[in-house]
Amino acid sequence: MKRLIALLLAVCLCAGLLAGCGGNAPAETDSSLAAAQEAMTLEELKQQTAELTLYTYYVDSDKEIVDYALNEMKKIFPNVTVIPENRTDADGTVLKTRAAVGELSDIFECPSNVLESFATSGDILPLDEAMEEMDFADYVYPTVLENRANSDDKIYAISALSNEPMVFYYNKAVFAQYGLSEPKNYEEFKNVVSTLAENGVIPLALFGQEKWPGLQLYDLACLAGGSQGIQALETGEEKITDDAFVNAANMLAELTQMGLVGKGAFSTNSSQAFEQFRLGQAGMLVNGVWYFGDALEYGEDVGYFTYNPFAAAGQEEEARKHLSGGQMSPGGYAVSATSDNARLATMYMLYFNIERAKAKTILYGAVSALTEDVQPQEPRYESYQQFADSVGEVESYSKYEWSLENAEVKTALEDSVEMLLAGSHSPEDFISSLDQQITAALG
Amino acid sequence: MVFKRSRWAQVLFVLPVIIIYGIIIVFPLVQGFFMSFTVWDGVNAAQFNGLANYQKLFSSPDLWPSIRNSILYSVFLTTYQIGFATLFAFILVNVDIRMKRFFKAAYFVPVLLSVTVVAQLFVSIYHGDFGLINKFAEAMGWDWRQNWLAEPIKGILAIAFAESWKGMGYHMLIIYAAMRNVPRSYYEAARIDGASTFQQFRCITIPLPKTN
Repeated sequence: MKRLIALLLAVCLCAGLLAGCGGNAPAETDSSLAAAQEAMTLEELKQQTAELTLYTYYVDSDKEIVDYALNEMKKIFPNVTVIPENRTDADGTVLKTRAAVGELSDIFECPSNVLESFATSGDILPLDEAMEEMDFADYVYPTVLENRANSDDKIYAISALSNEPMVFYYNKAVFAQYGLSEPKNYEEFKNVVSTLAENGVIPLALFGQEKWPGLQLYDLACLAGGSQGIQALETGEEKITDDAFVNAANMLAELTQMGLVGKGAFSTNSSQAFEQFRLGQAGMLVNGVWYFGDALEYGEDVGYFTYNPFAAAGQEEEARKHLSGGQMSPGGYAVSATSDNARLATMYMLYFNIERAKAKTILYGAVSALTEDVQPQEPRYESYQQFADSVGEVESYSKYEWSLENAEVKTALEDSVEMLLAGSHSPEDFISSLDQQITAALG
Repeated sequence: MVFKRSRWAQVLFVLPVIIIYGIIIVFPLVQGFFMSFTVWDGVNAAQFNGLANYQKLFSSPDLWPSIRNSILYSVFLTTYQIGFATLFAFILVNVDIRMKRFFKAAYFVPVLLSVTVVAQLFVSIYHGDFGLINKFAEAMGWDWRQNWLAEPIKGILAIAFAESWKGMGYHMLIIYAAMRNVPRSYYEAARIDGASTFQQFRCITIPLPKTN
């Protein structure tokens, strides 16, 4: 009897173990609903009742923007309920996992580095027909649609935001305290860095826990030399041994020796860097243009470099027309191919894009790329307005590092720039190491 | 059916653990090995590419620093955790000090802290500009500020120290329990025979707990 009980207990234990092993069956679309929606006109679709899931940045200022946009969407799609979910990754890792188990949200922010994979696997829907149906192109400036197509010439993700380049911010109070003004070229920039360092102020609050600010800094230095920036390295159009890239490495190495970034830069996160900048412990900060909106509360103390600080003397006016980061790329909001409300979700997403762009301008003064005249509810502070007014003078934007498509090139650049800024690599080591790695990566 | 009682019972009661071990440890290992011969974007089907990944690995400039760092980390961790754990356990067992319970608890508290908490704590200690160590040096007027986390050797040792500090208490308690089980009579006999404290430590305290 005891043996029988022992046997039964053991079998129950095994069964309990294995019971949890049956994963979710791949989501099956409701084909009847999808077919019905395909037959509807756009106006009929807008009246449909549905619940959609939205995977997007949904904290802090992004939450306010998304909530505002969702509220406005009620006027267009009154019976659609949206459940936002905060995006927890920047590189698409979570999305890949969710795609593997068939749990992609109906609408989600899709970074450009995973877009090709999702398009190939059929996890996302092409948007061209839907965009044409609701005349999306009439809502936005033509620049919004640049570089959006995937390798098969179809658009799979879209964003209605304007170009958002990297900006070199400076603390006006700190600069005034040490008698500094905005540098227009590299020699003036070196003077700024050395003055701040000598007075115990961290020249640049680099949030080195993330690799992109350092790499974007290098990209900015490369642009000053007339190159297209780091994006040209992954296409093979330019080589790391070209003068612009070598000079950029020399400049960063020299600035590092002068104490450009604090000793703790690589264990500093963005919040800490922003605090260092706000409190005047650091004189400068590099971040995307969205930081203008984040700094609303103390915006009057924030200035930005209207010139590229790495430009050689005499090249200032040309260098300032080419900004680092912000180039449009195949990324933005996409729609899951397994969504039960695929067509509805697609149309909802396109309109949501417009409303979100409006919300960002109204609430945070973002530069608008919409054809509709949208103004911020509060006047922009001086430097922010100055930037908004200068957008028309920009001739080109390079890519952000997260838009690079070759992961090996991107990783090699990230690690090497980090070591250069940490003082662990000489410029010669930097160039030779990258030359080897990029050559191997490009095959 | 006639069960051979001990063998079947053994198999059946060990089976759940074997299944768990197989699913969580063995299967991913084997799968990882086969995946190492493919290129996979995480979404579409993996494509076989032979030894290309291994060629990249062995030609990567990061390979030898990684191996060096792993060795440094392991040696430091083991030496610190086992070394200090043994020393503190010996003191707690053999030295008549007050507040033994307090010390046992104090050494064990870091073990209970989450990794995230310990990481944030040590980032605050090691931070090059505002960390505790460098700020202390600055307050003392010393011109000695280190870039604890950004230098190759210093960085890995700093991280190893944080992990060592966190885990030492666990090993200390295990060694303490083993030392407590050594009969006192052995030490008394050793003292009578004229053995010094170090000799007692080397000949009784170290070898006997290993057999417990």
